[in-house]
Amino acid sequence: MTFVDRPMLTTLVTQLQTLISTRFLVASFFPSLAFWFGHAAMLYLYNPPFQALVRNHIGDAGLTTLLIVAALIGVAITAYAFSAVLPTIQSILEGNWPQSLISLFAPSEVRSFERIERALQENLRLRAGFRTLPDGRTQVKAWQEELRDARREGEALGTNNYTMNDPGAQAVAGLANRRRSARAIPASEITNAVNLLLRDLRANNANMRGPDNELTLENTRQLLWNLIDYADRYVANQYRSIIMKRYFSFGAAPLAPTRMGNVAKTVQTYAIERYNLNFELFWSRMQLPAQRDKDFGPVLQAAKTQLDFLISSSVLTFLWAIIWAVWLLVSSGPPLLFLVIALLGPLVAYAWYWVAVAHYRTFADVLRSSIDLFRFDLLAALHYPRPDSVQEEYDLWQTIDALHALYELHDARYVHPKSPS
Amino acid sequence: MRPRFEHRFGWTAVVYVVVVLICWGFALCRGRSDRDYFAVRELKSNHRIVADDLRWPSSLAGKLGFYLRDRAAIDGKYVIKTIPANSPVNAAVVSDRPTMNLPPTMQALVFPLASEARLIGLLDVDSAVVLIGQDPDTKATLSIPATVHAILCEQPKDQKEPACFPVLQVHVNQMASALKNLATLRLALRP
Repeated sequence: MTFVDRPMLTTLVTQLQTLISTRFLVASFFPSLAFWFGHAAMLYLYNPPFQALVRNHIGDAGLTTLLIVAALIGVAITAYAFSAVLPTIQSILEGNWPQSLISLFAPSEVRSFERIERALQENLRLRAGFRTLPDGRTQVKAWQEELRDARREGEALGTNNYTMNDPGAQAVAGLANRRRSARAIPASEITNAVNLLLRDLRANNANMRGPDNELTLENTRQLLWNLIDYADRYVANQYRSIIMKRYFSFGAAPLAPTRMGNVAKTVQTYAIERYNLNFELFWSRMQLPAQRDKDFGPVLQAAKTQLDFLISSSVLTFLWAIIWAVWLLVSSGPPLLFLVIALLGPLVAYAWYWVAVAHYRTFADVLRSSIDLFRFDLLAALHYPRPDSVQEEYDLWQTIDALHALYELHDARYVHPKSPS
Repeated sequence: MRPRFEHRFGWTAVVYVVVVLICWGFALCRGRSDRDYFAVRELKSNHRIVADDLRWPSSLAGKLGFYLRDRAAIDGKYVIKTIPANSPVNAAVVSDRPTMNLPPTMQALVFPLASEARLIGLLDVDSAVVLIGQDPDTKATLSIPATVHAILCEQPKDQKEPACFPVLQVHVNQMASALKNLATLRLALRP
């Protein structure tokens, strides 16, 4: 006889899987199992009578199996109860708090938001240096053409006295250092380097070797040419990066007091700003076509399951740590153990939370994708006509929102599917 | 100048850590919960400790059995010096073997309890007993008074319960008779 009757356990798990969804198993059951196992482990370590009970019955295979089955049923019941309160917990983590608490904690998030806004303004200032000139050329093109023309002028000369000690070379080396440290290169510094190098290119023949027997002038010109491209691409990519961070991390005002809340808001903001679609109202209706899709449905389900798992893990870790910290304090338990649990427990829970926030960004992106992909299916399900243009769609969702959310009476045309006859 | 108090979650974490450290200091000063079992009655020197001799501490944690020391350190061990009732019992006050310091006029006799095995439950240190029998040579009735010095136990491999037998204090004058008739003597409690 083995410690646990393995076929019986396998059968039990299989039956659980058929009775209960994978989402419940992953998002609620396993975190709850770990939660109770954590309690049992603490009891085993710090409660000798419990330890003796376990040791005395561990050899009895029948009783052990019975106890494990009873424990699994107990865990399943608590997991089921936990899954029922999980949406409420998620809502709390998203910062749906009383206004006084929101006002107290929102400044942290507002500060992060303002940091992004400042970075965006700084980027705008940088990009202004790379603007399109009145003659239609870009600043990058203008700099590079000036360098090309100056080089041609210099080609007529028969000398090259250019060395790395020249101011132009020093200025370009300074720009190269900026690239090496992955920093932006302001247009003003490029202008300065270009002006210095233009003078050198006109006074020396870049095709000839210089006093150091190297093609230093040509190499410097080529380096500056590349640095100009780098600087241009840098500010453009940085702009996209900041904008993505802005729109993937923060929704419309007012900001939520937690990062998870702000990430959650990005979905509604996207739906409103892109389509004028009230996502919060229509998400439950849109889930049906989204989940029915054989490719997208599992992706959506997996993303939600992972998010729920991370939220459960965070909350249950926090709960476990608080329970044991309070108990150790009240019962005069080992002080060091109290200190470790009271400090590390919430820290681990916070780490889970941050992983959940990071995953929420992915989940929010899946939700945005579902809006893009399934909004017409939702219209069809609601028997509204498909719009022919962006503006028409914008107006249609506004009308539907007014009908469904505000209970305003608007006239809208219905489209009914043709009967099979 | 941006006010630092805007780091609200950071300040909350700092306050939490301070509270935890204060609680930790308080816990350090207060000391640990009772980890020892307590004697439910007076346990005489050489008494072999059994489950019924001990109770859990009356503190909150103790009532639920938390943080108690390993019972294996005291179960089946011998009390070194008499322990008053409600006193802690721990490894420091017990020994693996009973002390064998007998008065000069007494000698120790290990008495096998084959047929009177259930008697062992009634015996304890200082129990007054009498060894009764008949001398096969003189046919004289024997009645040798004795007191229990200690109870010795050993754990047979194939049994759950240990096999125990008393070590008796017998007067030196009666020791020869007791040893001679050990096989026929029987043990009875003395009032």
